[in-house]
Amino acid sequence: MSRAQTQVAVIDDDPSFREALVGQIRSFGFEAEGFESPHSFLAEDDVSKAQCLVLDVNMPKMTGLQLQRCLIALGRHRPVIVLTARMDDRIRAEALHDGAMTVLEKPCDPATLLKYLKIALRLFD
Amino acid sequence: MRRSVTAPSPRLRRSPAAPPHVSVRLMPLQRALREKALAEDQVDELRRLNWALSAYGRSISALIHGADAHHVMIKACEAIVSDGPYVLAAVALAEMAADKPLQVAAMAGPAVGYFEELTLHWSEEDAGGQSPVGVALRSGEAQISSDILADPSFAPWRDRAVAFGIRACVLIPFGRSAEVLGILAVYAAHPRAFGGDEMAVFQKLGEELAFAITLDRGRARLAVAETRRGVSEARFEKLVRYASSGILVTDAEGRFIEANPSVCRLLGYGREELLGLGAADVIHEDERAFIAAAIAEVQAIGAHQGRWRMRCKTGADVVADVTVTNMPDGEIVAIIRDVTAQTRAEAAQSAAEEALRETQSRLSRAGRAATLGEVVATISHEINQPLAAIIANSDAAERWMGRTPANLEETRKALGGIARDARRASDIIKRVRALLAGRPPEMSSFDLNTALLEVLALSHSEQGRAGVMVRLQLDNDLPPVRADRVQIQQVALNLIVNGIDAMARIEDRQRRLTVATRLAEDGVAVASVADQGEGLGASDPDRMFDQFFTTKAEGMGVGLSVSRSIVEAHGGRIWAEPGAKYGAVFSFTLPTVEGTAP
Repeated sequence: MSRAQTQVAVIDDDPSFREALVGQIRSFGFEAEGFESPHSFLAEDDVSKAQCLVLDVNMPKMTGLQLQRCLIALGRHRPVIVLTARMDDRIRAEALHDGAMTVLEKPCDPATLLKYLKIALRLFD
Repeated sequence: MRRSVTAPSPRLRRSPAAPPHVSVRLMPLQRALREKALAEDQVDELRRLNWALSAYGRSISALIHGADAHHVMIKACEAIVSDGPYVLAAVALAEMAADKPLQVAAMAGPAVGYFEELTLHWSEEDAGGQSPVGVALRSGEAQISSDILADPSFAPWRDRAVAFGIRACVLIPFGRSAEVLGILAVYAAHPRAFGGDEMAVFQKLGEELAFAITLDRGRARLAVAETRRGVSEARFEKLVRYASSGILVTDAEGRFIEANPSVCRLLGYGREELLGLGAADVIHEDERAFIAAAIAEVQAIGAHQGRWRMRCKTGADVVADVTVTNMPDGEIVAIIRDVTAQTRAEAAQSAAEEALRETQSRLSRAGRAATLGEVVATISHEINQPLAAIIANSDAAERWMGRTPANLEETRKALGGIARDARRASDIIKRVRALLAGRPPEMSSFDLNTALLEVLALSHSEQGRAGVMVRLQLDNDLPPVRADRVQIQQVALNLIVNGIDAMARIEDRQRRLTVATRLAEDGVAVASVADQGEGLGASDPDRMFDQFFTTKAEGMGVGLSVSRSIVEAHGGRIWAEPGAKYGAVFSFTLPTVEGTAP
């Protein structure tokens, strides 16, 4: 990939899904990097210049929504696409309230995911 | 001269002499004079008798007029001295104190001063007791002194007697039974003033005095008893008035004729309002039909005890323990104890217990459902991750392949991911299947009938609550089956609970659950659970055992699929068919130790 920077950070504790999603986003033509937990993402965020986050909601220690709030608090907010294995009105409302672009249910429709990624990344163009 | 006079007959003797008839004949003067003196003597005697009778009559009159003993005594004394030679009449009462004093209760006549400052005793030890009065009292025999001047026993009092103009006396002791009550003393101004006839009258008068005194004492005792009774009644009324229990008295027709404040408070009526009402007015309408039975019980065995719902004037309900007792006069006394609060507490406790049972039941059901629910959740979550990964990878592979030139490296990577996630999904399913089975089966030989009875005992509370009657048709000759006992019991429980649930809305027929076992021709044991429920309807009996298939809103369709897994794992078969008339029959087979295991 020609781009030096990570454009999309995928944060999901399930390695195989994380890997698949990173591969899929890369097949879209974006640079993506996977993080196994919100903490590992926060630890590397200095160097990771991700312009967009794809976050799994259900993760141990810190949920995706907590990470989202944490980033807002740190002033490092950027577009967030929230993924959830089970769509739930409460999760959806909370995520959108905290500034998520959208909440998608796994498995996600590739076209929808691509659409939102494009929107998210265009915001930084 | 003192002489004893034996008590004459109480009957008043008529004078032995006829009314004086003086025949005037020529006779010698002396004889004539003697006869005249004799005649005068007779007239005198008659006159004395007349006085005595007059005194007796007046005393009796006082007695008949209801006067008290004291009044009768005074009347007697007054009557005696009102005429004739009697100067003093007195009634003295013997007191039972240690020194046996004699109390002058009544006296009359010009010589009443005779008794003043005279202390009388009738004790033998006392000097005064040696007087004729004392002797008379102690002996109970009348004493007569025809002439005090000639009577040595009167010596100590002679001067005093003479000073009061007394020359003769008669002392009549009187009493009841063996008890000496007192003495009637009559004193005359002349010697030899007392004849036998007056003696008899005085003695009779003594008896009347004794009667008056006894009557008086009786009245006094009665008065005391009445006072006591009054106190007792007052206490009793207090008891009734302040009793915390309600007390109702009804007449033989069941109308309230008395009500204490407690029952008025309890039922919210004023006493006057309550009087005239009957049991039917204060018993809750739902229980009025039982009043007749309770009355019959009271009439038959004299009492009734029961818990009744009562209706207050306000329309509120109270629950009371009622004890009804039949009185000999036909009235009925009901003691009413308010147990509303107690009953509520009991009901609350019972409701709490019921809730606890309900919770336990729900828990045991939820336990089963949760296990299955967990399985479903596990399936959906665990399978979803690899599925999502597979979808992402396949999409990526397609894109890598579609590039110009195709990125085979990335495509292979994506395909590798797909294969890995597919295996992962498969592993998850295997794990879930293991989870469903729960644990490796522990095969043993056991009596299927006993195992089923244990399950029925387990579900006893559910049967009771659902109003289900269980009928057993167990084959007692069934050979033991070889299976995992616990798993088979889970299957049986599942079918029984399903059967009970299937009859929840059945109202037009008995909710009967028939649990049967039999030995089939091929040597397998068949257990069946037949309900009288709504039946299988149009549903496909073969699909009953498919996962998530259920005809009931709160059914346990998933349980059937687990049941099938278990039964089939044991080499058995499970199926459903319509009941003979209503409901459904669920049956499963198990190999027996004797049969040929499939």
